Amino acid sequence: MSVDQEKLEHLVEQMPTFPQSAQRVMEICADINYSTQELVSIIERDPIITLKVLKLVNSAYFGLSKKITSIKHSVVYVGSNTIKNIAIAITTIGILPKVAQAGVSRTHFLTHSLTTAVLSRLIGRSKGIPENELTNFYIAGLLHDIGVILTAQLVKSEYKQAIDLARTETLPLHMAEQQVLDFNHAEASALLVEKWQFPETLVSCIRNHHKIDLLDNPSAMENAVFIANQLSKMMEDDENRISAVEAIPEATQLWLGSPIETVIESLPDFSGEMERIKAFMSL
Amino acid sequence: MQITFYGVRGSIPSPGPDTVRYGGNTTCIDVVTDNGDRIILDGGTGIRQLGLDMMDQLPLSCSIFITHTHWDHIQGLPFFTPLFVPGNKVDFYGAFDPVYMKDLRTILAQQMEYCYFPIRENELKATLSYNSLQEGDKITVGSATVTCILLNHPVLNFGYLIEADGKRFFFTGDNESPINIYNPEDDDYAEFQGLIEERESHIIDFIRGVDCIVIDAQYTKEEYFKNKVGWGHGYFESSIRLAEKAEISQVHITHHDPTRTDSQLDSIFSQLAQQGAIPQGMHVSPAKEKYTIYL
Repeated sequence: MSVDQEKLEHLVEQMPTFPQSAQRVMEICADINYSTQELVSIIERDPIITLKVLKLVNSAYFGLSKKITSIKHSVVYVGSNTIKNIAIAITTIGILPKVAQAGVSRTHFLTHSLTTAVLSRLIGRSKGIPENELTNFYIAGLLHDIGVILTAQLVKSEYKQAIDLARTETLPLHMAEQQVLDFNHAEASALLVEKWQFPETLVSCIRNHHKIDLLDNPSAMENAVFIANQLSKMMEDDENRISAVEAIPEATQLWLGSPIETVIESLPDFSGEMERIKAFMSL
Repeated sequence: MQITFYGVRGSIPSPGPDTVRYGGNTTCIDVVTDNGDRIILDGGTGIRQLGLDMMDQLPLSCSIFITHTHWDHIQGLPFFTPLFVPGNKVDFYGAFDPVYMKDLRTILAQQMEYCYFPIRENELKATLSYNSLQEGDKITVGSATVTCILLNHPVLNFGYLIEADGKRFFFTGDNESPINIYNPEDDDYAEFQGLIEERESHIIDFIRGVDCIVIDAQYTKEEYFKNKVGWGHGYFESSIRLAEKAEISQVHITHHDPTRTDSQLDSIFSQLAQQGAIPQGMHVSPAKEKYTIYL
């Protein structure tokens, strides 16, 4: 097996990020009177910068006694200027090519991650989850597939085979990965956030996002991210979708209540959030 | 415990007739326990004179805790004479810089590179050690313990709590209490405010009831809100309020702005008193070079 935590962790260091955020971070940071609010909103939309910032602020270097689980939280604890300088360092690594390794489209990946993040939060809110917990729903949605882009870089040709298999057989990607690589991206994503000691609920939510049917009692976060992930895939064009939509297990359907097709209509902020994603993607 | 200010100025030294009473050297505080153990907080330009004052006690041993590595807190170190004397022992403590991935030794050695200074760090004759700290680390220095807490400044800055002889003393280094980056009508305002309050109570719990605090307040309230938000320093009222919340009655304000004259400092403090900005029972004064606090 050629995918392990150490190799993945090493890859994160060298991972370039998305042009939308890299360019805005550089523009914002070139202005001495930059807006922290805008900087936060850009970083929060980028799974790679988010992952790296949270990794660093939770690292032994800061040694904070408190777990930092969001970008806003990071700003309050280590200061906006430090976050700004961390973001600059990340963006200077470069930007992801349009088609990243193994044929993963960066635009598709970012849109899917962001849509899942936003929907996870909206679904959680609609189920009455307190606002302070919704941050983790968003982060789990944003990072749930981070293992895709990293594993694709680690084992390029095998990953391409897995994507091709998922497409031709209309399989969910993790099943194709399992067949070809004896590994899947949910595990890869979880290994990273686990290594960096993200909250346990967030780690297990990411780890379980394709095996929720095996859980006796999925958490609200696990349910919300699962549903958000399926909705996000349902919104994709056939040609962009690299992973098939999965059936909703009974327990998750019970938690959700209404049929999945009607969920989106019931989310009050949905269209505004989608507009913001669209605007970000066109930067 | 004896606490003596050797440097009280922020940003850059400001010698001259207008600053002669409070002093123009940048940050350095000398703390000596009843047992004679010496802890030096920061190595701004004030540490030069401190080094000279220490030279009649050779060979000597001291621990220097760096709050953060901005110039005004390290610039005096190449002129700290005890570093050049064989037999002396100096232990440095401070944060690792996670943005540029440099440890304290690298940072301090870089300011002694040949283009900046004629003597390189590895030519220093004293026995030196460098120790990276993480938040909450507790270091024993003879009869004292020193514990660090992360405060808010545009670089990693530790405040240090020194406990010895049954007394507790806290120095912030540079610190700005975070303010909400959102407007009250924004969706994210409440969440951010909650995080700020949680963090502030963490700090207040850490310093609650210390016998004395030396706290950064570089600006007046007007200066701060005009164009200094985010610069990493407090203003007089914000620092007094933090001390009040932490139930601290002896407060020394430091990191005086380099443009601040002695007479301006005097008038700011008399105004604060007249305006009722100083809570009853709290003694607040501007830190003054060579002034000693006895705890």
